Order: sequence, then structure tokens, then C-alpha cells
Amino acid sequence: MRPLIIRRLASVIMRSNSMEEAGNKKRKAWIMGFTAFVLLFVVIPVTVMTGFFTFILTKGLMQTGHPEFGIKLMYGLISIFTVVFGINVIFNELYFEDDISYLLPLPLKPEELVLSRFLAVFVGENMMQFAVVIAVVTGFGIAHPMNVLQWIISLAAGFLLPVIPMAVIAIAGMLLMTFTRFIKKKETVRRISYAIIILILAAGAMMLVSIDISEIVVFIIEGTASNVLFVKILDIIFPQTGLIADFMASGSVWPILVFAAICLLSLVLLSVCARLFYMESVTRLNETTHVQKNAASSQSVVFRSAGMSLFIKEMRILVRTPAFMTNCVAANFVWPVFVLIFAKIMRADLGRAALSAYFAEQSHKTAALAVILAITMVTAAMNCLGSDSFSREGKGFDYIKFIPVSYKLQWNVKTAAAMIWTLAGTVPFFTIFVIYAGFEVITAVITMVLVISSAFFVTELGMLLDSLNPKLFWLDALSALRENYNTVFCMGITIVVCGLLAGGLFLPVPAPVTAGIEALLLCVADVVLYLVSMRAGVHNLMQIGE
Amino acid sequence: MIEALNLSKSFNSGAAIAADNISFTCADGEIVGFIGPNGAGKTTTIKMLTGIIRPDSGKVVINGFDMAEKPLECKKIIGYISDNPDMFVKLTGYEFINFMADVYGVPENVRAERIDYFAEQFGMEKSVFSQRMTGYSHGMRQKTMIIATLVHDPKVWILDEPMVGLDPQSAFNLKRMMREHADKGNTVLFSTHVLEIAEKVCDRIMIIDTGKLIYTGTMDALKNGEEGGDLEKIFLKMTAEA
Repeated sequence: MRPLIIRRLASVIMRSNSMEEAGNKKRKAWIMGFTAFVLLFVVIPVTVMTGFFTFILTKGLMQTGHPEFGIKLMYGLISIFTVVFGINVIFNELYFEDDISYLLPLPLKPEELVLSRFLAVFVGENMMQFAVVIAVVTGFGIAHPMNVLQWIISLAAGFLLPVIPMAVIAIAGMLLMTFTRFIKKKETVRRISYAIIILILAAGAMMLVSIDISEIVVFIIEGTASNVLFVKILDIIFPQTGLIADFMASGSVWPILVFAAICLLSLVLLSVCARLFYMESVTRLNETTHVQKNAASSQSVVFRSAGMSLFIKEMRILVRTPAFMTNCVAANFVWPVFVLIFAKIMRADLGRAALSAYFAEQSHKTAALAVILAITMVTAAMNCLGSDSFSREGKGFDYIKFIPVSYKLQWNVKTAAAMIWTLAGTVPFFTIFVIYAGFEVITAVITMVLVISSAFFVTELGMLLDSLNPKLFWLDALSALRENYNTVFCMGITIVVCGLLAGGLFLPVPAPVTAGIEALLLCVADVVLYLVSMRAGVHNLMQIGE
Repeated sequence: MIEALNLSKSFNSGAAIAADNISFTCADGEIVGFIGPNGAGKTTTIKMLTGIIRPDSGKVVINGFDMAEKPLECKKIIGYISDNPDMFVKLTGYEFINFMADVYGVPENVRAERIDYFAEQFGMEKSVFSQRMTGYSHGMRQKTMIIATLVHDPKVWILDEPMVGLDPQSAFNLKRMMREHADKGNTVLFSTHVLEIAEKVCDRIMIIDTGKLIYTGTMDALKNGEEGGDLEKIFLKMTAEA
């Protein structure tokens, strides 16, 4: 095995997945501005808040004699997210990236291929996580003083936290791909990986629902928190979290030595599995699929208007490309599950009478409006339908320019496709909610106007950002979404705007009044943003590639 | 007719000149070959002709319409085949062809006839069009791209490396179709690296190197006076001198 080759290959893979620099100075300045905005108003505040939360949590837990419990729980949650989102990313990186077919003929050992791709994913996917880890360690270290060596090792251990879960996923993936010979199509494997994600989410949800918060407090006070089922399972699946937490709390070197040994062992195991299984599984997957020439012709010519045809094409690409289907379409329908889990954890009565009574109170209604606004805006930003609208055209982007359809119509078609999916994931649920919760007609109408206008605002903002510098060079559809700064910028600006609007609802004025004013403001902002899109956005499109 | 008037285009704030004051005309009834080494500026010029990128200076006129002033009218006249057939591969062949036909407003019966015609020319069974293009070979995607591009019977064909990936019979048929199209009074401009194709098909050729048009004229005029009349040697000599 040649470490230099692994490093170089990983660097090449990371560079090929990263975004192109903006072409001209004006665009560069805009992008620098957005980066500074997101850093100042999102990344730094979130990091500081996480650190502060850890500090408070640790201070509180120190009184029970278990300062490590909080950090263990936070690292456990980070590890769950690593697994949930890592499955798709690692499968994609090891088996579905288009560049694999170019790398296979090269004289590279399987473990070099796997470790380089693993390294690329590790660095690429965990940059934001590292900021959170630094905040967690800092919060803990201030609350529970550590010596210099403890600080350094704690930060390094936090940095290496995702190694074990990611290695486990990669090993499991290789075993699955090698021993499940019935899988002949990439799509099948993708579906299996999504099924695993759903299973993990469901299991996590069931565990969370089973938690009784008062029970945890009692367990912590009694010093027996490890008896809680959720914590027990975390300890078994992610032993590294307990080891790092123990080291940070006690300063004993043994837990961290064990952690380092497990990390090393997981990488060695990954190399061994790569040598044994990777080539066989990846070459089988890359075999050409042959077209059936005698298949029945089920479709021929159908006439539609240019706009309708563009719209149908847009919808087909979104639904048929697995990465877009899961991240842009299905993502809109996930949030109700989390809301239900939260309600279950809080032991909330979801009966109609109880809800009506609860939301009859003004402050509860205001809180509901703020949550509805936040869910809509974050969903619209998270689904990337706006902020990825041009990036997802990839190498085929030129068609936008050479077909005889105006840029404005093409822009509107993309807006319509994005809005349909975003609203499909919000409007039906919120309509049921406002009826069920007994909102007055005027409040219900204002709520729906807020939902639609805020979704449009985020979508149009995302499209405008994406038209500035779309990520058109990607090898796999997932790469059009990953490391695409436009989606990050869009989310950052959305969080700030959403914070302001949601905060505004709590002004000492009746909620329907503030909500009405905000809905009106959003509608005006939508009109302005749309007019800007029709001029500056279209102008941006014309400049792409020049 | 394609008219390129003093087209210039540079990238990286003028550091890389891709097209330097290029002017030419492709008349009706003519097949013009566009040849040049890699990075000479062929694709950039073609992208300017098709409205994909705008020239820094100069203008493009297609059948009397200025691309800068009447882009949609120009684009309706053009059939453009890009050098990348991997577009919308998640669609079936029919869906892609229908999409392009809708964009150009081709009536149902006309597109059905044209699909039949092209499928026969390229030796493709129509049942293949019911399947997604992800399973197509490079050559099949290229053929589908050609069919989708020509389904609206454009007067001006602009083809960027159209023969890449085609089997010999399909390449032969495409060359014949280009000739027939030009003979009906239409215009064909295509880029190629293969000098033999240019030699056999073109009425005129244009040679571009480092963004400059270094030759425009007939094949016979180019060969005239050169020892042996070997196009390859002439091409190499010209591009070396440029």
C-alpha cells in the first residue's frame, strides 16, 4: 500500500467534486459576500451556541458527578447523523461515481482505491462537523478544566470521531455488494441503501419515543444513566463516544488509547475487506447494461407546448434521478415524522379537542405560526430545488441556451417544478393542522399565505444564487448537491431571514396582525425578488460559460 | 446561411483568446467543414454561432436574423448537435425526442414520420426509444441526439464532431443526409478532426488555429500547388506555421 498514492488520489477526487471558481470579478465578489454572510450570521452563531449549550450541560452534569454524560450523548447523536447520511454518500463514492470506470484500469491496489475514496469522503463530508466538534470540546473544556495535552487530544479525537462509523458502513457495504449476487442494477442497491436509512431512522425514532425525560434525569442523578435503553444501544453501537468522553472527563490515557486502537483496527479491517471484496463487487456493478432491442414499444409521439414539455422533463429528471428524488423530492415529506416523534416524546395529546384548546391560547398560536414558518422555509432551502436548479443540469446546461425558448419561460418552469414539490410537502399538512387546531378563518388564510410566500421567497432566492455560479461539473448527480456552495448560501440566508420573521411574530401584538404584516412583507419581497430574477437572474444565465 | 462577422472571444479576463476576429460565411447549399487542432477555438466559435456564448465583439447572422437581436428566431432555424451526447440520459429516447420536438413545435404526425425516417437511416429499432438512455451505448446516444436535433427539420445544421461514436453505415448515411440537405438549398457546418471526412464531404473547409481562421476555401484550392496534394501534410504545415 502506498500512502502517497492514497493521498494524491484523495486530493484529485476532492478537487473533482469541488466547485469551479466564479468566472468574473463581480461574481467572485458576490460569492465572497455570501460566504462572509453565512460565516458571520450562521456558522459562528451556531458554533458559539453549541459551545455554550455544552458548557451549561456539562456544568449541570458536574453536580451529578457525571460530566462526561452530556458529551457522550452529543457525540452519540453526531455519530447517528454520520451513519444516516454516510450510507448514501459512501455507497455512492465506492460504487456509483462515474470516475470509477476510469480508475479501475489503473494499476491501483483495491485498498488504495477504497482508502483514497474513504479519505475524500471523510474530509469532504465532515468539514462542517469539525466546527461543531471544536465548539463541543471548547464548551466542555471551559466548564470542566482540562490540561493542554487533554485539549489537543480531545480535539484530535473529535476530528476522528466519524472514522469508525464510516468504516463500518464501508465494510458493510462491500460485504453487501459482494454477497448479494441478485443485485444487478445500481438502482436496486440504491433502494436498499435508502431502506437501511429508513430502518435506522425508524429505530432511532422508536428509541427516542420510548425515552421518558424524567426517567433520564433520575438515572443521571443516581449515576446510572447507562441503564437507559437508548444510552445502552448508543454504547454498543458507538463505543468510541464513551471512550472519548471518559478521557475528557478523567484525563486517563487508557480510554483514548483504546479509541485509537479501534480507529486503527477499523481502517485495517477496511483495507483487508477492500483487498478481498472490492474489485469483485465493483467490477460486477460496472458491467454494461444492455438495451433490450426486442422490448415492446410502449410510447411514441405526444405533442405538448414547449413550456409543458420543459416542465414534464424537469419533473421526470427530479423523480428518476435517485439523488434528486431523495434529496429534493422525498426530503419534503420527512419533517412530519420528526414532528410526530417530538410530540410523542413530549407526551402531547394529539386529539382534536386537546389541540383546539391548546391553540386557543394566543401565545401557543404564535409559537405554532413561528414553527410553521420555520418548517416551510427550512424545507424549501433544504430540498435544494431552487439552489440546485441550474447546477443539476450539469454538462447538459448548454441546452438552456440553444433551444428556442426564452430564458424567462425556462426560469418560470423551474420555479413551478420547485414550488410544486415544496408545497406538496407543506400545504396539505398545514391545511389539516389549521383545521384540526381550530384556527379562525382569517388566521388560517394568513398561515397559508405565509407558507406559500415564504416557500416562493426561498425558492427564488436559491435560483438567483444558483444562476450566479452553478456547479455544472459533476460526475454523479449527488455531487451536484454536495459541496455546492449555493445550497449553503441559500440555507444560511434563509435561517437568518426565518429567524427575523419568526422572532417578529412574538412582538407584543396579536399574532394574526404580525403574521398578516409579515405575509404582506413576504409577498412584496417575492414580487421584488421575481422582478430581480427576470432581469439579473436571466442575465446571469446568459453569462454562464463566458 | 450563416454569417460570422469579426467574432472575438476571450476567457480569463482576456488572458486566453479563443476566437480572434473571425469572419466567414456559409452559404445556402453548402457543406462547410471546420477543422483545427485541439483547443484551436472550434467549439467556442460553434457555441457563439448557436447562441450558447456571446462574442466579446462581432456578430452572428443566421438566415438574416442577428443572434444578438433575435436569438429565438435564429435558434428556431438551427439544428445543433453538441459534442456531448450524455444529456438527459434519465429520459427514454422517445421522451427526449418528444421534448426536443415540443420545444421546436413539431406536429405529431410530422415528428412520427421523421423518427421513422431517421431510425431507419441509423439502423435503430424503435422499441429502443421506449427505454431510458442510461442503458444506451455512446453511439446510440449520439444517434438519438442527432434524431432529436434534426426532428424539426432545421434549415441550418451546426454539428460539433457528429461522427464520433457512429458505426460506419450510420456515418455514411449521415454524410449522405448532409449532402441531400445542402442540395435542397440549406446550410451545413460541422467540425471534425478527421481530415478524410472533411475531404470527402465538404464543399469548402475552414481551418482554425489558436483562435485565428488561417484558411477558408475549397479543398481543390488548398491542394493546388502543394506537392502530392496530401491534405494531412498541408494541414500539419499550416497549423505549424500559424
